[in-house]
Amino acid sequence: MSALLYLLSHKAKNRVKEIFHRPAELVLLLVGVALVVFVIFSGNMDVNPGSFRPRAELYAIIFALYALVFVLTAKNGFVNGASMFSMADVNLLFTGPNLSKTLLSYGLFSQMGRSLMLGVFILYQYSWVHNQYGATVADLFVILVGYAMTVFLGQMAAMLLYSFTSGSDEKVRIAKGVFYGIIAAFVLYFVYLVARASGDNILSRVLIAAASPVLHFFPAAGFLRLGVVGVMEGNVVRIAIGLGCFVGSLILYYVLVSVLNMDYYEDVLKATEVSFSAITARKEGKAQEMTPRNVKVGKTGLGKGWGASAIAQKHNVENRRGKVLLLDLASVIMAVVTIAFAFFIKEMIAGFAMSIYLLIMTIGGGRWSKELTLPYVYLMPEPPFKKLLFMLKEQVPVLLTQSVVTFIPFYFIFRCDWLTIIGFILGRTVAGFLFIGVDLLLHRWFGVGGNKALLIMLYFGLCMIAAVPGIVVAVVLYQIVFLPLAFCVLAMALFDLLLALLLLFFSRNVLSVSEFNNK
Amino acid sequence: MLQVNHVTKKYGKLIANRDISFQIGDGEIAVLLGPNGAGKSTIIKCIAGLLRFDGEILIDSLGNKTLNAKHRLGYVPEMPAVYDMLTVGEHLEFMLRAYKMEDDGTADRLLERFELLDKKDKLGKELSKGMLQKLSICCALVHRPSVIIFDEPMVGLDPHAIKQLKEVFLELRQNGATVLISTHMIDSVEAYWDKAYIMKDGAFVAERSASDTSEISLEDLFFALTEGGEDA
Repeated sequence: MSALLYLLSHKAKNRVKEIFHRPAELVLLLVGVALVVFVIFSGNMDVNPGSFRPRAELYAIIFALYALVFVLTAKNGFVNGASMFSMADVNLLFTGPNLSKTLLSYGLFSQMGRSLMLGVFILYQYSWVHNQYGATVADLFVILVGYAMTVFLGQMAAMLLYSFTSGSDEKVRIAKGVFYGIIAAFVLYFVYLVARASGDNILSRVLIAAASPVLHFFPAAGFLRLGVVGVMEGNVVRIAIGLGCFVGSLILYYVLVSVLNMDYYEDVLKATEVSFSAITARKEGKAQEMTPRNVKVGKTGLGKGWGASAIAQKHNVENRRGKVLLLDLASVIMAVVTIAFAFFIKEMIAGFAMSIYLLIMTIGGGRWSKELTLPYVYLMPEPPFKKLLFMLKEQVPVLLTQSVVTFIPFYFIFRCDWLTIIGFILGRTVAGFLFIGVDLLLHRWFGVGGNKALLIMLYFGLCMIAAVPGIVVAVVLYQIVFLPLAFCVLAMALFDLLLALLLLFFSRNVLSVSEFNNK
Repeated sequence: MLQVNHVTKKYGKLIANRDISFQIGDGEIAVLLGPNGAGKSTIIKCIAGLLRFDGEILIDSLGNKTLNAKHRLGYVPEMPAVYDMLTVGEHLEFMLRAYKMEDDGTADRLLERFELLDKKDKLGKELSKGMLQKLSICCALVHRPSVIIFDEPMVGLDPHAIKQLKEVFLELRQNGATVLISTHMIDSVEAYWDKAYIMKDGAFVAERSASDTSEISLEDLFFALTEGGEDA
């Protein structure tokens, strides 16, 4: 067996063994799997096959997801690249008697496994995907594999972009022009297709446009969607085209990186060092954040804050420098997806549910989660609950703004009363704190370290469980007590607020007795 | 004063610290020596209140997790941890505000001492490894703690900063502070320790006071114990 195969197989074997040697991780894995099973079984109940929505909608969603993931992953190539190698790989393999092409293949295989783990959240989508579109568990796994392939190609594209552009602003400008030019061309063509499509409503026109063969040429997302749909429909030709294009792209990237730029080690080294320092820093308690390349310091000094409130003031200064706006790109995308979903489904409650669902995926990105990785907040001589509240203060305007932007259009789409809109805004804002509470509770239980993929799985499951009581309250008030929708949503918000405060209170000691450690 | 009474720290089945007890008085400098993996950083983190443990740790006779104890404690972590988006000066302002302390000029004095004053408006993300370490030390000292723990403080420092830090150690002792320094660079602390503790496999294997008259040097004792010798 070659050394690289030995390394790959033993790394995988030891990873599995490690799980069995760590009871907490094993329990976490089992709970995560149990939650997936729960989602699958609960999603299977009371499904009427006659009421399924058109499959074309699902295929359009798959395309949108893959396209978004590919673009977001590949564009990292303009910043610091994306490395599929560990620092140990760089130190031990790059300096050893290995062909650069062989090492690239090794890196690709290693990355494939990681990409698959990243897509585990897709499994939690079973319930609605099954209920709305009749998708099976096998379908979901196919979507997951397609997702992993998309991330994989995205990483390759990022590496390629980085290799070609590193060290030259001119090249970065050209590559950015080409990259965003291609995306813009597809977007414009899509809009053109929607405009000229003949359909009863905008949804049907969008679906016609999304099914256009031209979109199959969209990098990664186009042909992977084709392949995934091929598997779901048993269409061998589509599978062959999808798979063929995937392999073809892989070979193309491979050739471009390894042949046109044989000495890719330097580029990989830089990206690996960035990623390694991020991992090391995370392990060793240093905050990590995506900072702009050029930061304008501006006015210096905190100016305000005393005791615990200094944390909130510090966040204000950091956010100003980091150009962290109340509404970032991810929030805008979430809002657009929610509004589009509600518009097409013609159900504002479904839109509200979708917004809560999307919120689960993004709530961990606040500055509070970075704060937990540094020692200062633990050392500060202030009551833990007070520190926790000030640490989360910055999330209030962020969540409120996101919710306002998401739900104001609901008023114009559904012509509902303002109280319902206010209920939605408050409901989503409070739900944000509920999910933060869940995340903090996980920090409380497992500390800063732990297996990321398993923790994400557990986080998703627990968020869904935490949301259930509030939903039950709203449903009971709406269906049994026959209260207006606005009151039901407000009641749910109030219930969730109490639950969130309870969770925050239980997890307050995360700032006093946390297992803050670099192990 | 720092008192550590029967502290045991376990990670699952692994015992990182085994029944550790020691005491460092006011105006004393203690050094914690040991090879990699001996458990030095773990006990330091327990004292800093960052880890759960069995036993008792008192800072000026207060439980180390009480707010009053936290007020009195300064901690320099093994890996410097700073905020990317805060300037050097703002780090110290933040610490003073967080500890509810007025700035009496200590912040600038510390920055000057560690040659950071001209970098006051530099962001955390722009600092080199050595500068990060210096800033981390300044953050730990700016609120004028009475018990200061240093985890491998010399790593990454330039000769000037090492000289300054050694002077800081002596000044802290002179001013009655309690200082605990964890290190594996014995020669860097040889000149000024009052107490020395040698750790191996999570436990103390030797304890020595500066007033002890022993023919064997601390360094020789360290190697004798950590390279398979008997407990002293």
